[in-house]
Amino acid sequence: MKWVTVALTASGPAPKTVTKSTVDSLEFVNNDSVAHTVNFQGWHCSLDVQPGATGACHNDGPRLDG
Amino acid sequence: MGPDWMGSYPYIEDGTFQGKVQVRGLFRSVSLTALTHSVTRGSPLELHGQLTFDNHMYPFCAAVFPLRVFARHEQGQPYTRIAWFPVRPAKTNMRAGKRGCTYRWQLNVQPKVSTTYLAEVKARVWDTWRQARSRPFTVLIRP
Repeated sequence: MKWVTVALTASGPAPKTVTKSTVDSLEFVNNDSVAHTVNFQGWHCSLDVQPGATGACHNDGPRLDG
Repeated sequence: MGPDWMGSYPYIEDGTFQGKVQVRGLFRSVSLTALTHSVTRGSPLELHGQLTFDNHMYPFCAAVFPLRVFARHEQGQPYTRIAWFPVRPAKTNMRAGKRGCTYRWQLNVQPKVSTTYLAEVKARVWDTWRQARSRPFTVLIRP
């Protein structure tokens, strides 16, 4: 297992696309001076990541249509 | 921490910027073979193979996989499932290596006509491992 990290910046996530395995963990790091939000469309996860903080989804599962 | 199901998961940062997380299943493969490609009509033949998977660096092999074996008699026809059984770790069929675990499996058949077989381990939506399918193996009936 490894950690896959996405940086939240004023110009969007970096990198914009990441690939992870089913057992890897994903984290969003905010090194900016303002808070950033992350809202997934196909997964039950919304994050509000404060400056200098790290956020991660907590395996709430996929968002199913219907 | 998720998303941790196989698939593609787009997200929006600050309601403006788009990002995407692609989740891939761990490695898994299955093989199917037999001692011969030709038998007399109705004689028994053992199909066998190996199921190999990335065991996520655990020092033991514990996962159980449902293996499905399919057959078809003519090219162009759809495959029909002829067997379904769990492949479990056991002292007699298991090998653990640096790159994962390997289980051996076998199935006895008695083909009456020339038949092509293949094995598959299907990936379910919540599965940790990707889907695996063997190469087809054809058994011809000799007079």
